[in-house]
Amino acid sequence: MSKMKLNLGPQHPSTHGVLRLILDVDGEKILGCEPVIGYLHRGMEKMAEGMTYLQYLPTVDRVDYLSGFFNSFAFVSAVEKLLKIEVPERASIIRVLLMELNRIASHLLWLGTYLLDLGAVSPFFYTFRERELILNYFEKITGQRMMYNYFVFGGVRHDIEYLDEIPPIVKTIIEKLEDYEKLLTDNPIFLSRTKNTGVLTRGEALAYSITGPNLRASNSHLDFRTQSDLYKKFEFKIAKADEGDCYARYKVRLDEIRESAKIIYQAIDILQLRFGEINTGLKPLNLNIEAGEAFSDVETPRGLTTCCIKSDGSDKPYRVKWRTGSFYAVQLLPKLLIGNTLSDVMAIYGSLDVMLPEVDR
Amino acid sequence: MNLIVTTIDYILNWSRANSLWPFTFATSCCGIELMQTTASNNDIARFGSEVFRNSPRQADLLICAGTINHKMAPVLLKLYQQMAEPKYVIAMGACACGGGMFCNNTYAVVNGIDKIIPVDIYLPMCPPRPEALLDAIRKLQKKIKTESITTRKEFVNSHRSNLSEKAEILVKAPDLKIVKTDGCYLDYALEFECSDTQPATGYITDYESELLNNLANLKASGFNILTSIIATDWKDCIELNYRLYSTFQSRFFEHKIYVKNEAESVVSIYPSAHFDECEIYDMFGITFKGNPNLKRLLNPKSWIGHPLKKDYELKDERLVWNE
Amino acid sequence: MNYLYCAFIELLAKYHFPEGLALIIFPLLPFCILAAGLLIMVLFLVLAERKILGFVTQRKGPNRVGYWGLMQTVADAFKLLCKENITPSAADKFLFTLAPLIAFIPVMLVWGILPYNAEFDLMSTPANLIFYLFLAFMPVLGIFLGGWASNSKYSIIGSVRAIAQAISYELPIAFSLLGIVVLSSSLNLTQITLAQSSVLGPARWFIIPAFIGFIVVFVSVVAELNRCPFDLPEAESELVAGYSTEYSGMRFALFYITEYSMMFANAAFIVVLFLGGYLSPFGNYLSNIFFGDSMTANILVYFEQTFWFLLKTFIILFLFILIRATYPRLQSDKLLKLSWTILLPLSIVNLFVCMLIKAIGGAL
Repeated sequence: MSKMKLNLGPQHPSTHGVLRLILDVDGEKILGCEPVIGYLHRGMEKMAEGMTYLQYLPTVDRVDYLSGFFNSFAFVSAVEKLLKIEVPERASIIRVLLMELNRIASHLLWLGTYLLDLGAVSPFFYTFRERELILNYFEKITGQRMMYNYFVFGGVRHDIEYLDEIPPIVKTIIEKLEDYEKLLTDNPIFLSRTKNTGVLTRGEALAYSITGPNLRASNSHLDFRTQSDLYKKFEFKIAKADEGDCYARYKVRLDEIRESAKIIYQAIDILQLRFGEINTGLKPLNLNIEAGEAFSDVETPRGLTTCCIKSDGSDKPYRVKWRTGSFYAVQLLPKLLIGNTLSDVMAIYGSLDVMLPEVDR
Repeated sequence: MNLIVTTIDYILNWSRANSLWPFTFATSCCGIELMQTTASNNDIARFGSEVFRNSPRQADLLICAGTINHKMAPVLLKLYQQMAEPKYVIAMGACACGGGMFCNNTYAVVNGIDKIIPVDIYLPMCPPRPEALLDAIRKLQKKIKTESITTRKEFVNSHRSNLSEKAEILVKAPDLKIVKTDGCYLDYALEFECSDTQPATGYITDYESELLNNLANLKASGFNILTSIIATDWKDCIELNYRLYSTFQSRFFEHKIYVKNEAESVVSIYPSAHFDECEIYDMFGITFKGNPNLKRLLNPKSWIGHPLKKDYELKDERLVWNE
Repeated sequence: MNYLYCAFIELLAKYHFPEGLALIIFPLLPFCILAAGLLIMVLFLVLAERKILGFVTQRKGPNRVGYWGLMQTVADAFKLLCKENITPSAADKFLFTLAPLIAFIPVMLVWGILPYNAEFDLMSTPANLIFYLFLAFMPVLGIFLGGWASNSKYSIIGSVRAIAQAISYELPIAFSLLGIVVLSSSLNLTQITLAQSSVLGPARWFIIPAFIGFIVVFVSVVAELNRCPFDLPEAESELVAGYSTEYSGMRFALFYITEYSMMFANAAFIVVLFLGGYLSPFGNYLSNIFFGDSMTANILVYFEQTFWFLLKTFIILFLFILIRATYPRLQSDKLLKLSWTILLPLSIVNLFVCMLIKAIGGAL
C-alpha cells in the first residue's frame, strides 16, 4: 500500500459521534492528521441571544449530555453571579452531590465505550449496567434520565429525596470497579495497547490547554474543584498519575470515581443532618440582570467548562460563550496520533474522552 | 397465485421484520440512549437487532439518533443512499423529527431529517427512553409485516419520490466565497482587568507594546494556560478576551483587546489558540495574521456570513453546503 | 462393508426397495448430510455465539423469533438472501463477485476431510493433513481478493492485514503439526486419531506430550479465523467492517458463513489433533459397555463417536466465544510480533519435545 488519505468519519463507529479525521497514512502508519469538527454544531451560542435566561436554561444540559448537571451548574452559577445572589447551603450541597454522581456516570460510560473501541465487548455492558443505577436515581429526583433541568437560578428546583438509596448504588459501583480492574488492569493485551501509547507530557498538555483527567494523568494537580467554594467542605484527594499515557488516563478516571464516591458520602451525611432552604425563591420570569459579564468555571469530567455570560441589561443574554474541555482535546489529536499506527488511533482518541457535542456546541 | 404471493410475503416480511440490523449512526444525546438500549437492562438483542453494522451496506435500519445539522446533512443522505434495499429509517429524538429544541433561534440545525431522507417511524422525545426505542422497533416490525412484494416497487417509489430532488439541491449547493471587507486595521484598546478581586500587580511589566508581547510576558510570568479566547460583537468593534490561567498562582487573568476585523495570531505563544482563532474567524469573520491554517471550523466551508455577529440574520432554510 | 451399510440395506428392504438402490444412495448420503449439516451448524453456531455473548454480559440474547429465539438466524439468513446486492461502481466487478465464492467453496471441502467417526471420513487420502492446511488457508485468499476488489480504503487495509496475519500464523501451525506427525507417524487425520486411542481414555491424547503445540495451535487458529482478540481484518472500531465494508446481501452472507464454518472446522481440527478426535474419553465406548458386542452396539458406536467429536468441538468453540467476550483487540504490529517472536520459537520447542518423547517411547 502506498501513501493515501483515509477519511475517518464523520460516521465512524469509534469517533463517539461525528468527528472527522483526515488521516495521511502510509500502510498502517499515520503521517498526518487533520481533525474536522462541526458536524454536530447546533449554534447554541447564537441560540442564547434569542432566548431569555429561563428559556435557555433547559438547553444547556445538551452542551454535553453526559454531564448535564455540570453544564447546568455552569450556566446557573454564571447567572447567579450576574444577579449577585447567594445560593443556600443545602442547595449547593445537593448540587455537589448530583454533580459527583454525574461524574461517576460519565466516567463509567467512558470506560465502557473506550474498551469497545479497543475491541472488548463485555465491559461496555457491565459499565452501562452500573450507570443505569445512577440514571434511575436521577430520574427519580429530576424526572429525566439525561437532561435534568433541575438547577434553577438561586438553588435547585425542589428538595432532594430518597437519599438513603444513594449509598447502596455507590457501594455497588465501587465494588464493581474492582471487578473491572481485575478484568483489565492485569490484562496483557489491554496493557500493551495502553501503556506508552499516546504519551502526553505536562508541558504539551498545558500548552494545548488540556484540563481535567487528561491533564492530571500528565503529572499535574490542576483541579478546578479545589478552587471553588462549593467543594471547600469536602475532603478528597486529587486523582493523579505521572506517565501521561493512555493507561495513566484510565487510572486517573478510575481513581476519580472513587474520590467522587467519598464526596458523595460526605454530602449525604451533611444533607441528612442539616435542613434549610433549597432555593432563594427567585421569580425567574423577570430577572433584573444588570449589564456586565460573569464567568463560572466548573471542573467537569472532561476538564474545565467555562460559561461566560455577557449581559446588556435586557432580559436576554447579549453573548454566551462555552469553553469546554473536549474542544481543546480534539486540537491535540494530530500531535498525539502522528507516528502511531492505525490501531493506536482508537486507543489514543478514546482515552482523551472527547464528547463531540461539547466540541461543536 | 394469491396463495403463493401471500406465502412469499409472509416469509419475507417475517425475516425482514425479525432481523433488523441497525446501522451505528448516532450523532448526539439520543445516541447514548441508543447505546443504553443495547445494554443489559433493555437488551435490544431480544428482537434480533443487536447486530450493529458499521458499514451502511449491510444494515437494514438507520436509527438516526440525534441532531442533524447542515454540515452533517449531506453525509446522512449519502449514507442512506449507500444502504441496500430494503431499508428503513427511525427518526429518533425530537431533533431528528423536527428540530426539537434547536428548531428556533439557531442557524445550524436541519429541522427534521424528513427534509433529507424518508422516515418510517418518528420517535419524538428529548431523548427517547430506551423503552420508547424498543417500542418504535416493534412498531416498525408491524409496519414491515404489512408490506407485499407486488406493491413493493410502488411503495419504494412513492416513499422515496422526492429523494433525488433533494439530492440535487444538496449537490448543487452554491460554493460562495466569504465576502471580505477591506479597510482592515488593528485597533488595540489595551485594557488589563483581573478576575475576582486579586490585584494583577507585580506580574505585568510591559503595558505599552502589543498583544503578542503582553501574552509572551504573561506566559513567562506563569500564566501557562490560555483557557479560551472569548469574542463578543459590540457592533462597532469586536472584543477579544484572552482568558489565561496560571497553575502556579491558581487564578485567571483576562486580557482584552478590541479589533475590527483583523487581529494577530497568538498560536506561536499558546498553540491551543489555533482552534479558538479558527472558531472566531468562522463566527465573527476576524482574520488572524500569522495563523498557519485559518479555516472555517464549525460551519461548512461554503457557509455565508458569520453567525455570531449581531447583524447576522437567521434564515429558516439554509441549504447551502459544499464539502 | 460395514455395520452402518448393512443396517441401511435392512432399512430399505423393510420398505421393499431394491438392494441396488442402496449402492447408489449410500455413497451420496454423507455428502448430503454434510452439506445440510454445515448450514444448520453455522446458523446455530451464530445463534449460540449471540446467546453466549448475551449470557456473559447479563442479557437474554435473541428470544422473540421462534421458541427461545431459535429461528433468529434463520430469519437473518432469509433476509440476507433477499437483500439488494450492491456492487460499487469503482469495484472490480468480476473479482468482487468471485471473492465470496473463493472463500466459501474450500470450506465445504474442509468439512469433508474431517473424520467425524470411524467410517465418516470422505476424503481419507494418505496425506490429508496437508490438504487440510492448504484448504484452510483458502478463505484468506477470498478475503484478500474481496477487499482488494472493493476498491475501498478500509477494505484494502483490512485485506492486507488479513494476508499478513494469515502468513505469519500459518507457520507456527505448520511447525506444531510436525510434532503431531512425529508422534503419530502419519499425515492422515484418521490415523492421527487412532494413534491417540488407549484403554485409559485421554492418557494418550496428544495434548499431553504436545501441550505447547496445543497452546500454539489454539492461539494461531484464533488468529487465522480473524476472531477476537485477533480480529484486525474486520476490526469494527477501526476499519468500519474491514474487508467486507462494501459487501451487502448474499455476498456478505457468504463471508459470514465462511467465517463461522471455518470456526467450526478449525475447532474440529484441534480436536482431531490434540483431543483424540472421535475417541471416547472413557477408553471404551459407552455403547460397547452397555450393549456388549452386538449389532446394535456396533451401529450405535458410530453415533457415539460423532457425539464425542461434536462435544469436544463445541467445548473448543465455547472457548473461542468466551475469549471473544473477554479480550480487547491486539495492535496490528504487536500481533505479528507475537507470532514471529513467541509462537514460532515455541512451536519449534514443541517439535523437539515431541521428537524426544517419540525417541524415548521407541527406546522403551
